[in-house]
Amino acid sequence: MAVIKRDKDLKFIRIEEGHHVDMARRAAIEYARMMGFGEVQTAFMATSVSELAKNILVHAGSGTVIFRILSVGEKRGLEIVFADRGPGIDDLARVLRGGYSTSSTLGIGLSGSGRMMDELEIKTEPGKGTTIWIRKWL
Amino acid sequence: MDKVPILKMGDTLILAIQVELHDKMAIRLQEDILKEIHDTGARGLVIDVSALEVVDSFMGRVLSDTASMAGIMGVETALVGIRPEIAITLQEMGLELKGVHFALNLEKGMELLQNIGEIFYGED
Repeated sequence: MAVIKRDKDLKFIRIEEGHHVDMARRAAIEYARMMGFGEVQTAFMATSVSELAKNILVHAGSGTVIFRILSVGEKRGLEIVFADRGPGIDDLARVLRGGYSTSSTLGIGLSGSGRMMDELEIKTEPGKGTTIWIRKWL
Repeated sequence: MDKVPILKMGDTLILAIQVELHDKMAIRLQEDILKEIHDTGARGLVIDVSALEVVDSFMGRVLSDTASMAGIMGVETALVGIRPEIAITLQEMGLELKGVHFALNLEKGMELLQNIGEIFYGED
């Protein structure tokens, strides 16, 4: 089985206000360009970061976004983690289907990110918080 | 805090969004636009998003809501300057922008609203 190597260099961005979301989105664009992702994949990552960082702000109040470069053999990828200690997601299956009302940013943001990224993993516990990992491979 | 300038050309208001809007800014911008429509009697609104890095679901909703509100005041809205990667992203996200007309750039957007105006109001 292929072993995923995680770069030791991490970039942390604390999300507490709207402009922190801008910082996270900028960081995603910088990483994507530096690693050589194309325009569309860069836009997919930047939009996913925008959605998920805003979800932290809206639903948990605050949290952290972490960027890290991955490699499996010659293959490289970018992993972005969104962690908060908010209320957690109650009905995850429903949220992932994007079935929540369109006025909620949670539904479309999560389901859309799932489609735009290569991988999306969620760990959520009601009352304890949510951690989301998204990955995109070159 | 940045304010988004609203320009007027003939019957049309032009709005070039340069930065990502956060909740309060977006709401204030909507109020400013509606006030401007009321004060000027404009018939069209062109929103240029070519400077935006992304259009996420929040921004999509702000744009769609703004167009709906303008529509209630009798104003048609054209969204212009959507870059290819943003068009693909909107499609992938399944984000529908309701009540908005689309055109490639500012010039084509103005032209489009002009044509719609002629259909609705007849030539003055």
